[in-house]
Amino acid sequence: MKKINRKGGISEEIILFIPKILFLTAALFAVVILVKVFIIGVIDVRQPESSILISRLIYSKDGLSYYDNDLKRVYPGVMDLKKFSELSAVNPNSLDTASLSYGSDNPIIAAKIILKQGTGNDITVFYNKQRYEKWEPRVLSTVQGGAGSVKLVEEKKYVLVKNGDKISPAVLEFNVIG
Amino acid sequence: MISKKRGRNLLFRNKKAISNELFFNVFELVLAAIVILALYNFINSVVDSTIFEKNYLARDLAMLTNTVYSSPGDLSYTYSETSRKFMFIFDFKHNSVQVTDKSRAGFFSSIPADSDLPVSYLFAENKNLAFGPVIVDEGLIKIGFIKSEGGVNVYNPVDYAAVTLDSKK
Repeated sequence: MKKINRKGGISEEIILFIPKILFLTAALFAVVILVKVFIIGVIDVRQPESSILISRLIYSKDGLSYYDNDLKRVYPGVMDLKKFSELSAVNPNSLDTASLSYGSDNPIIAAKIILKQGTGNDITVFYNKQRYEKWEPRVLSTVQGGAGSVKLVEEKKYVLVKNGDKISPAVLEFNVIG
Repeated sequence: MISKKRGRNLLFRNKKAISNELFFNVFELVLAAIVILALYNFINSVVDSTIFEKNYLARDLAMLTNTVYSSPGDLSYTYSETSRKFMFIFDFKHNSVQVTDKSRAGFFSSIPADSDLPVSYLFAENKNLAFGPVIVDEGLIKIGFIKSEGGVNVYNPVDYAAVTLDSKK
């Protein structure tokens, strides 16, 4: 009879010990998670990087703006329609390979640029088209593995379009994915 | 009073129960101590490692190079690396900036820890302009950038003459 009582006492202690251990484990986990939360390991530069790309396309000599070869100056905000049309139809990879080259593979950034002239003749230019088409569906939160994996930055700029000697207003729409 | 007496009686009578409880309490303390020690070591390793600084500097310099390229005219800019706590080597290659911790470069080089490895980040090079790959390694706190008609140059402002710049590829 004595033996049974003793055994019962030990098992009771073990049963009482289980919630204590569970609570201790939870408390220790909470401390570990708290420490992990305060350690910053990832630096997200997608937003500034997108803004820099947009600025570069507008302000740089080899971007989309009109460049006067005689005066050797660029006119930021004045789009060269000839250059834009060439980029759209004739030489779509010239931005990727020449003026904004990240090397043979660009895993950083991609963009779709639409020039809306109001006449219905929208001209679309891609930067890193292959990646853009791959990343575009992942912008949507409904796509599995999509939300947060890529970031879309949308920006609109009011610009002028130079078509020969004629200048007309237009909207330049940037969809940058990084 | 009665309960006190009873408790005292139980305490002295059931020695096995006391030793079990003591064992459980010690076990809890040991478990907590192990976790706290592991956490302490982890935090120490994070504090000692320069991986965050390298990541930050590589991204910052790559974006700065992109910004320098976006200038419509000539530009001169001096970048101040203000951390001063560590010594870094900045390797400006074609399309990328690589940052290495100078104090750890070559240290245990056969099996480098992840935190000792150099960190690099890409920037978009303009192939129509010359870019001189350069290694800035003087324990510097300043890095100079110049953009002109000829191209983009990165140099050491302290020792401008010693900068080697490649001509246009």
